[in-house]
Amino acid sequence: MPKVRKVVLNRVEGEIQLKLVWEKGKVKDAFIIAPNFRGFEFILEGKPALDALVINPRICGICGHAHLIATTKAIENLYENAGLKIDIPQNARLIRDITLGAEIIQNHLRWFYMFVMPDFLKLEKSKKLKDFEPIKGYKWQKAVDFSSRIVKVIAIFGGQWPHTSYSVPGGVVCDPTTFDLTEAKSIVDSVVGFAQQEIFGMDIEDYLSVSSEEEYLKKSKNSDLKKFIFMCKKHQLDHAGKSYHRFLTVCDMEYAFSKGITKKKRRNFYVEKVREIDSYSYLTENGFSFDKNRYSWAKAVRYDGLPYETSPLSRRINSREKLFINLLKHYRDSYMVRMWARIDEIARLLYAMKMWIESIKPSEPFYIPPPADIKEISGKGVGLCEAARGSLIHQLTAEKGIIKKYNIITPSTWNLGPRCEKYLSPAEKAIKGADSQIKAEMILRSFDVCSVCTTH
Amino acid sequence: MNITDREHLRALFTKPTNYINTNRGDAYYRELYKKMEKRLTELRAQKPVREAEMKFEEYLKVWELTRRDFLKWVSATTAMLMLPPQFEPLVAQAAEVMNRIPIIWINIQDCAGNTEALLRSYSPTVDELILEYLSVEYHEVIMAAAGDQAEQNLEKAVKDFDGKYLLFVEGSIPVGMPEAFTIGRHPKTGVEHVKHLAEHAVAVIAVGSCAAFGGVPAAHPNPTGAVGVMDVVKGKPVINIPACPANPANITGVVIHYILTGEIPELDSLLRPKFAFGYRIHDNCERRAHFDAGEFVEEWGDFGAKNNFCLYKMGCKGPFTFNNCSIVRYNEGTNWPIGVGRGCIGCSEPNFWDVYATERPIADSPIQPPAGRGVESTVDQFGLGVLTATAVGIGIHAVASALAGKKDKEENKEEV
Ligand code: SF4
Ligand code: SF4
Repeated sequence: MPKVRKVVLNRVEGEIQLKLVWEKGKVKDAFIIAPNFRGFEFILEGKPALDALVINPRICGICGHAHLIATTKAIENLYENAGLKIDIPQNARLIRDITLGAEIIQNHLRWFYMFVMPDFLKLEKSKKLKDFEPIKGYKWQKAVDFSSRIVKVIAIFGGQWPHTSYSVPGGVVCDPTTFDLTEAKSIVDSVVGFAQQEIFGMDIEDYLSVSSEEEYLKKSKNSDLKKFIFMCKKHQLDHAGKSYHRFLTVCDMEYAFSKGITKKKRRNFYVEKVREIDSYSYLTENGFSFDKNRYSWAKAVRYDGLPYETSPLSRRINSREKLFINLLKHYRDSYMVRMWARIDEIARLLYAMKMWIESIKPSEPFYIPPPADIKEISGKGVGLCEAARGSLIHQLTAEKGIIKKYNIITPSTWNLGPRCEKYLSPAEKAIKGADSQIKAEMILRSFDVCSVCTTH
Repeated sequence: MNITDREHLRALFTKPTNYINTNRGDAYYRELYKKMEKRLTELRAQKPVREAEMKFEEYLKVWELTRRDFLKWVSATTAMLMLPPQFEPLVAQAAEVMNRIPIIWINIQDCAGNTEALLRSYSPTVDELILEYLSVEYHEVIMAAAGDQAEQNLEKAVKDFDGKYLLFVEGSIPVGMPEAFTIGRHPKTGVEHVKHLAEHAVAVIAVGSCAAFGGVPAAHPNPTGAVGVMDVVKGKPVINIPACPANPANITGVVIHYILTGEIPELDSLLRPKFAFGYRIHDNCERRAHFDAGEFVEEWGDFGAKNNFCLYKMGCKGPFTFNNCSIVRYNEGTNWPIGVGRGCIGCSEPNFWDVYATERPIADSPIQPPAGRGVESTVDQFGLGVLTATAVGIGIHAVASALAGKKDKEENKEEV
């Protein structure tokens, strides 16, 4: 009889529970349980569509801004599907990208320094890791400081963070001055400084041209990413935590990444091929069910019938970035590569943010009113957006501007959802074969766990 | 009458609502000063919650903060608590003895937004003072321990600090569907969790609109039967710090107040501290002059929007919303929703998702103007002095109501 052990990972917002089935010292099966549920999709039903702009960011206190953008795009798409062309000024697109970029960067900074590096402290008590100790460590504090700094960029354009609602169908409500732009730029510059010195150990632009692991290790000075790589190797995490080697990205971001799906070869992404399956979920098509085999509030999501990982790593792969294509050849989609992609994205987005800020033209519009009142619009809309953890999809059906149905598929639903009849979720698959509990937890964490998003 | 008619608006919004007496006279403040000094001396005599605790000065150094940064924070906090400037040294001392107060922070049906807001609060407020210096004995997000070890830590903290810790709750509690939130290895529901921890706490602080009033999860049709902490916890003082997210400054404010007085601050009828929720957004809004001049934004991106006109016609709920974010703002005072032209959505009021939400103009929304149910109709349910038997109940910012006046006198007598 295999041994079953249940672990509660509650160091993250909300909780995710992990049920591990052991055999001969290895994880034979893993169940990821999202035990908490709030019911946003039900709350949205019957409310005016524009209310979703303030309700949805509250789905998550960490990636709420991505939910705002997905909501805005879903409503804009609703107009388009009704045959009404919506003009979104270039300035507004840029501002949405800037703030989204800032949100993703703050998340990665925090995730790496507050969760991932402290995990290694559990594997070894080395003096070298002293700086990474939670609360007391110098690096830990610096990371909190810089991740707080970068969200000020969101506050400049969006009013506050978390939970902004400044993006609306047709653009953004803010009208930044040159002063605001300069302030935002200087914040970005200071974070660039931190990234160069502490994280990458080299100039950001040089880092972005690196195409292999050897090259990076050779060029970089002492850096946290380097420490991370060495530690992964020491604890065999460079080859652990492999999942399906299939990657999904739903949306482009200029200078940062492109959309697509990769299953051996890269192809286009079609939202029609996305399906949710609830055979192991408490939430079913016909209400709630607590049958014995059901174990999570989350649903399983499949693309063309198959599970896909969605994450910064997926974005790297779908953008055909050389460094990561090379890394995959050696290590496949392992713990180390998945985490490295997250860290990598800090550099990529900082670089992109600088370009975006420079492209804004304050004298041009930030908002163009939609061609009709929302009260006249009926139909369906889809909003696609890349959030810190991966792809986010909002689907809405409205009748005369009132929401009839709202469906949200979060990145965590893709990665940490339950299994379907045929396949485990990507994270469940990755954990299989882990040889200790702590490594199982770390592999789960390489997907950037978020339980509130998982179930919403 | 047209709803945006100026006379109509003036009549609506100049009705007396909530007045806070910010100057209660020399005698009052002298008395209060003495009491606070006494309390601080008592606290200083106590040991820090954790042994081998660093001195506050050292913490400042570790965080690369100067004494000047700290003093800036001290005066801001003193002003926020509506204390005269001569109380600044006391507030500074209060920060320094914060490590005498144990804290337990739990998350139920939440989005972690408040924790996020807290982590992003400005230096040197909460990062250092609450998370660092205050003894957070348990917090899921920032704690190093996970899983079983975390559960054990929590139980140990409850035992060690029985009857002494402040319990912070983030997120609503699904009483209608307890299985919508389970915690730990032996699934305990959110309801049981909160009740158990509240029983051993000295007071419970509900942070964010979810914990205070049920928040988003409680919006119609409230699929999980979510409620706020005050509907679950009985027999313990509950302090609500609503808003979505709650402003970290208000969280620190409540704690500092507790340290200074051993009491919870004076609350309004919705159990919100009056120092923070004693006035409306509209009372201190930077666009107020435009409101008074009848200059409104009619459409985003228009001339009015470019010139920071009033957002009332765009659905701003500032006139109905009690909160201090027009003064404190967010993200180190960087900005706030009205600053970027979005308007206030009333997130510190109960049921705001169903009645206040977004751009329904006032004529179309089922909102009652606040007159008549503002702070002046408050009864101080818990009295001040509930928390410590010896403490004397003088609210720092008592409203000049007959009730408050009487209470002060009575309790002063006890001390003599
Ligand atoms: S009140 Fe707002 S910030 Fe707080 S938990 Fe609820 S939704 Fe999140
Ligand atoms: S923007 Fe809102 S709070 Fe400010 S003056 Fe206008 S109505 Fe009042």
